[in-house]
Amino acid sequence: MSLLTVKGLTTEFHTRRGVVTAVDDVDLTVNRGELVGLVGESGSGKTVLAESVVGLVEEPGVVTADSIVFDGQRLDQLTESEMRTLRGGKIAMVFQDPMTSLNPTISTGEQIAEAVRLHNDTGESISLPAELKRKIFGAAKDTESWRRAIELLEEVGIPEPSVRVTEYPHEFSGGMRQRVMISMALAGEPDLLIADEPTTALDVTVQAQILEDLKSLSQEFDTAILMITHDLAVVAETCDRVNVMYAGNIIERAPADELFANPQHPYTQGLLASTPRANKRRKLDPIPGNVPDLTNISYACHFAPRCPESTAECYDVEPEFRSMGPDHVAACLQRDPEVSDRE
Amino acid sequence: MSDSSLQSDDGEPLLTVRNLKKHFDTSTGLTDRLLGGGQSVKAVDGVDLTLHEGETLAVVGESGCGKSTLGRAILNLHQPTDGTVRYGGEDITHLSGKEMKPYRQKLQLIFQDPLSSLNPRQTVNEIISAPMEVHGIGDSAADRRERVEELLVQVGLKESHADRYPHQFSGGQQQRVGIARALALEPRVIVADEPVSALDVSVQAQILNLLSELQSSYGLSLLTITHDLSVVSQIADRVAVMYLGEIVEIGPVEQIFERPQHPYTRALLSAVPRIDAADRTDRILLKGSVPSPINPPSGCRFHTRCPEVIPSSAWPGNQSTFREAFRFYNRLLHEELEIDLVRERLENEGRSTDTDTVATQLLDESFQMPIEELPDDVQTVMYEIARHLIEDNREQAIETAQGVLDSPCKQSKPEMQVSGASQASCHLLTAEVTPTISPE
Ligand code: SF4
Ligand code: SF4
Repeated sequence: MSLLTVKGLTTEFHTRRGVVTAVDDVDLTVNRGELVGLVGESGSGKTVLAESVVGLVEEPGVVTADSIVFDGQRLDQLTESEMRTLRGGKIAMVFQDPMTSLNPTISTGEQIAEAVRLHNDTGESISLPAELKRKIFGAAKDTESWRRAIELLEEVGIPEPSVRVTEYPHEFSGGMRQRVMISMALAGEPDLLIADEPTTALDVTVQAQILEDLKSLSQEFDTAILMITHDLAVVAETCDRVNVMYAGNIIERAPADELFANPQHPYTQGLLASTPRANKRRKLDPIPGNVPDLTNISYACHFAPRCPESTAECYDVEPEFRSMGPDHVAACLQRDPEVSDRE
Repeated sequence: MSDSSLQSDDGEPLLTVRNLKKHFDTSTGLTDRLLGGGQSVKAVDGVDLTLHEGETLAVVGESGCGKSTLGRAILNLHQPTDGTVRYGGEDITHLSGKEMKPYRQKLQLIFQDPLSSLNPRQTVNEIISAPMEVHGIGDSAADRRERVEELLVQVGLKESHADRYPHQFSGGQQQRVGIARALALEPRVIVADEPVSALDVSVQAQILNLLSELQSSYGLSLLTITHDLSVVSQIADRVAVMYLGEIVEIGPVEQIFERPQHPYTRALLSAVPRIDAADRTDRILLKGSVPSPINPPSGCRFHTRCPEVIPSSAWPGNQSTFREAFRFYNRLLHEELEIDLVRERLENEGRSTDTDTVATQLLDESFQMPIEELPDDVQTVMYEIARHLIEDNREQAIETAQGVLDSPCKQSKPEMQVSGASQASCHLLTAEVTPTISPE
């Protein structure tokens, strides 16, 4: 059952140097309750794609799409205010640096409680004066939203939630702050959580905890997660399906196990060969060169200049998705459809 | 990269670090200092390590463990608080800037963020030849220019890049310039602080390969400081694991990655996400956060979070109940148990706030299982502690807790125990303090 279906999404930035096509005619599907990875290096367009879906691309960015359908609703036809209601409600977001999204002067509890009030019917006033009063004089603690804030903190694994709820963001460690962000995201009981590098700034032991939390919360709340990351191992451990992005395109898509066991696109293969593993030293086989400048790319397959298998054709003919097996597609001219070269 | 067996008795190490300490004073002004208001952050607190000719040692740890400070203290960029650093037999710990000069040439640093360490207004030629000039390498500017071009080719750039400015390069290329600059002085030791963590994966692999190649062609010794265990296994011969200012385990990479001896190393390795499903092990999740380096825990510094903490001989239950009771005890000591808030919460929920209800609530929040499911002996002790606390008798609570909860891990500092070519500091590795009650 598809929850989010994006068709033909393109995001361009018109700059003085030319047009930067950050996302180039991309399709994306997320099913209900599913964990989907969007993996790529810097400049791949993974973050811009997610921002485009939820209407967060700012000037001079221009998003066009054939359609963006979320839960039966055309997102590309919503007004800005309808979109705002949806964000933080049915579609929630968690970013790499929680500090930029938390207000340092308001207790975490009140921030979560506010999210609860905005996206649920608690019977509490959400008028501006009422909200201001809470911010200035402190939250009302005998309310439904406050109790829910404590519950949410508990859900995301914050010890002693009834104590921590009164504390301010700076009193939390990085990992705890990320948990606070997740609890705020859960306040609206979202169907889709977009997590953009949620653990990149965290230590590895904390990352492990947050990833476990995200997985179990997704199950518990039947929330789909779109996990945006540069880290293949994070995707391998958490996601059901993976989309690999390179220079504005999704170039391969497969169930996670299949992708890592049987990568087909030369870029995916190169990325895996470049990635050191924690338990075995092996010769790394890096992809030569650098990620391209996305301004006015003139060649058809964006990976061509770095691809060990490229031919003249790759510069002229845009590779379409070819089926590499059940639920597995790759956009490469040198791959025969349906016949995967498994050893 | 040299074979790890070479390090053990291969003569005098190139670099020997003994009991190195770097404490930072947090006092802000004169009054603080006079009144003793300032505290000291024990960023590096008694580190021993050696670096041999041609080997790569990785120092790995999470943020705040002191690994970067350690690198800088070794290079005398931070004046060490205590301990010694010897380079080729010479004590360089307290040398002045001027005295340090000949050693600076031999000990070079590569930074995480290449751009911020390269002067934006200088060409690559100027950036690389300036330190050569300072150290009297090369007879003329033309001579040095030639050397710069050679170096650029060696690090995978082009001769013509000598005339470009840093911002004209990608991140990976900037790191190559940084490496060329370090190599220009023909160093014997390079300290690389997170040399690839700012780079994309595909570029990171290029730089890791380059470092390995350069190391073998120059016979360099490399001290890599990193948070990334995959980088460690890729380039290091030996690894030192740091926690809260101390090295808890050190030895050959394969040995430590396959058979980690220290519980912290075990947890760290289990937390690394793996691409290959076959490499995944059961995750050891650590509870709580890293304590402050201002007041590090007594005994073993990992005891506040250690999943394997050793029960005191007086504990009536098993290790897992001890572990949870011990966390409760630590929170009691650090005044983190807030009875008023528990009471307030019960009140809000319209429940009774008599001593027993508050105690049950407090204990339930601390133990994973409901308190009444714990063995009777354990319940009796824990209720006694909780009651003292609720009746505002913190001292009595602590005294009772001490009697049954003082783990050897908290009482005494574990010494480094040698096992094969590696060493780790954990009481579990010493026979005498092995728990009398075995964990169930
Ligand atoms: S289409 Fe050509 S250039 Fe692109 S990935 Fe395939 S082989 Fe390489
Ligand atoms: S000494 Fe005790 S607390 Fe420290 S690591 Fe060993 S078992 Fe854990």
